[in-house]
Amino acid sequence: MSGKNETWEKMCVEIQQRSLDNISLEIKSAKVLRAEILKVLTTASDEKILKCKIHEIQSLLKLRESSVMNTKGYSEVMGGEKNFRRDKNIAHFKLHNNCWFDFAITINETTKPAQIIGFDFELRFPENLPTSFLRIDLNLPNHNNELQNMRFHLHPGNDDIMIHSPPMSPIQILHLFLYGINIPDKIRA
Amino acid sequence: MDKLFSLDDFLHHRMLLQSSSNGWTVLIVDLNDIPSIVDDLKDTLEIFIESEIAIISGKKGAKDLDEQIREASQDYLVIFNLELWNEQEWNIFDGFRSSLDQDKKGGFLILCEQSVYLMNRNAPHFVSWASRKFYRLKKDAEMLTQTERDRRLNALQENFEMSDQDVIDLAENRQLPADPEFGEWLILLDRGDLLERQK
Amino acid sequence: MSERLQRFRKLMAAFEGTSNPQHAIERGYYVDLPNNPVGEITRRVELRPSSVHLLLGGIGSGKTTQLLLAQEHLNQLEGFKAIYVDVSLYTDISQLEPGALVAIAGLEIIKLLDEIDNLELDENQEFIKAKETIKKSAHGYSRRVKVDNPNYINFSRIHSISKTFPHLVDVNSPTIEKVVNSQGLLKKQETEKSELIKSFVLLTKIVFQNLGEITFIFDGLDRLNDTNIFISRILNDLTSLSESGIGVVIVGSIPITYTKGIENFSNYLYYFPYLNVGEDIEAQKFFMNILKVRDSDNSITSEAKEFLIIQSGGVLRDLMSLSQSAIEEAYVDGSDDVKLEHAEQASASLARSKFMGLTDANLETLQKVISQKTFTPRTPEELELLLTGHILEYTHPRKHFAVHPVLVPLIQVIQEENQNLSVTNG
Repeated sequence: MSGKNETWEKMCVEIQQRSLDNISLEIKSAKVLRAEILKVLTTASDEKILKCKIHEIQSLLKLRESSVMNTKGYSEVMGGEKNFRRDKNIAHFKLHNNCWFDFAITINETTKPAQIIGFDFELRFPENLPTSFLRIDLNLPNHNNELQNMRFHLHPGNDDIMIHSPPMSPIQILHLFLYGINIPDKIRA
Repeated sequence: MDKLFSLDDFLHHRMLLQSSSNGWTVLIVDLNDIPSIVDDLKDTLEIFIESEIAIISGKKGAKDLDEQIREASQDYLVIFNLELWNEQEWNIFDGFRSSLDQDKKGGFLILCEQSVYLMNRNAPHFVSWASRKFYRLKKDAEMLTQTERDRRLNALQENFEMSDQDVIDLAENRQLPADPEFGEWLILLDRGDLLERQK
Repeated sequence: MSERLQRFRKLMAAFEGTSNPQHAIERGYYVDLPNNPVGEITRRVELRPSSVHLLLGGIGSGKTTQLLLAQEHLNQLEGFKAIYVDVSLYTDISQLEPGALVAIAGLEIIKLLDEIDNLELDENQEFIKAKETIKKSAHGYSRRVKVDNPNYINFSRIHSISKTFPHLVDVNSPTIEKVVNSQGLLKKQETEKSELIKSFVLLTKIVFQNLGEITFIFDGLDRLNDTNIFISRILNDLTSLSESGIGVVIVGSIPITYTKGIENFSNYLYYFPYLNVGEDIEAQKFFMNILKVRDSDNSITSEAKEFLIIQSGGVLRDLMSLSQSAIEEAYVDGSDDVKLEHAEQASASLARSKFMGLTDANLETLQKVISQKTFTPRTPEELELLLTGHILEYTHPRKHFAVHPVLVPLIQVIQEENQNLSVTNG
């Protein structure tokens, strides 16, 4: 049972502010971000870290633009199909260590430079692991302070449990998924 | 009949392979798409080749283009605006193709189909020298298709047990949940403007 | 970067068709051409230093490589200096002016002589003046000239006015000074040719005394497709150069071959045919050696190599282009080596790009060449098909023509479709 605690709430504000102060979510544009992601993924494919072929990566990595008053508005970069049920039959990126993932990134292009305002990256582990997934989210900016204090957070294998995550950009999270997670052959008891 | 390449295709495969050697490539696009393709290339090419790019217009003719090419200090050149070139301009261009080989790493000609015909007939030396690397570009291949969009919306509706209109209503009343999926939802509905309202 | 990507990049670079042939020679990729004219040119130049040699050949046949080799060989001769010049880097070939080659040769000779440490020469006024003339003729200059004043009123008749209003006389003088830009032979038509030739002759005398025999190797002129311009604008220059004791090696394009009297254009004529890889075993071996030298790791299978050779039609540059394209296809396919299927895709891709721009009349001509196996280029349209490499000319085992191999399947398909259509409609 998690109760409200003023001290903890103050700490959340500090933690969150520290995160926001230490990361830049500015990017040139959604198209450029997508191209950067494409390069990361295709390099990983070349290195056989990512099990997807080049044309698969291209078909999974998509862009959607929504204009505001006929000018650049908000865009979404999507990697893999939407998969709340964590169904392996739904298109996703596969890793050499049998993990698999997908992601989506929301970008505000009404400003110059553009800004990443939200994302969700979910990595699913092989079935023999006790933890089934890790999701790293950036919540949308919101006028509700309580929600604001947990913008950068992660879900350690449970959709309802949220903990502060270190501030990481989409490119950094991708690198974490591709190169930063070592699945041991023998799982510790 | 012709194989179509997306900009991704071209960027990744060809550029990673060619970035260490001199090469000229012709990208064939629809006339109306030329400006946006040039913009896209400007933004994304540098990521793949890790080198500066010069965007050069051939509007003033082949001789002026020759001058611009000689003066450009960048390793890669993107040349466009050649639609008004007639046979003579292409002939002149063919004559100075050696300028393209002077310490430059490579370049791209963005052409519509009609220009390719003229080039083939009137600049045969350039065409042969550029090794006939012609790619017909399929624009917007990276954009979400209608079917893909619908699938994503269905998944969101099912998971959150809400309709599209419910989400729009929430957003209009500044009640949009902070979960990142809701940002995506509005963008899929082409209501990114409602994200402005949440500030 | 993955090991696979590194390997493919290295392979691509080895087949880079746009790289300077000089680089290819330096990297050891050069394979001796069967019946190459370099030896013959060298021997003849040695015997007749001021001879004119014309090399005619198709686009991508390897002419520049041969010219560079000729330069290398000639420079090994004692008392000889061969200078390679790409004329297109000096001037707009499409507007080549009579005298331009002489001016270019003059500028190159000036460069050579300026490198000599010779005080007497540096102070030689005739030499200095000759250099100036060459440079002016080549690059143009500004000068002030007196021209008629369009506003002139003849005050001389009104003598008293000119005395009373002297300033009016100054303003309205009969002539005025004007700056005129003479753009020089390398830029525009304004010839001071006789001065140029005089100065050039002087320079050649000095260069012979100091450096020995000089041969110029002019590349790039094969891009002059208009045979009339080629002959009218270059011929006199070649004569001037030869009469000054300078040897010349020059290239021309295929259509020039069909110009009347071309054999009188030069002392020696060399024809650079495409190699008949379809029938000539020596040509096949030569092309195979080229592939082997560049593919030292054997990443391209033998089957693919054989296919690439046949599909190239004996055009060296197309061999490079097809190989690169096949390498690309293999990489995209995730394959570790370049197989026949990749070579086939490359051939189809080249066919599609060669096909663009062909008119119905062109197609008809190509169909005739395929079916009747004869071709006599007469019209500008037919010569254009030769120039653009849609039709290839061979001399082995005898002179004959063939449609570029990559195009044949495509044209046959179109022919069949047209036949079926006429059967359906008929």
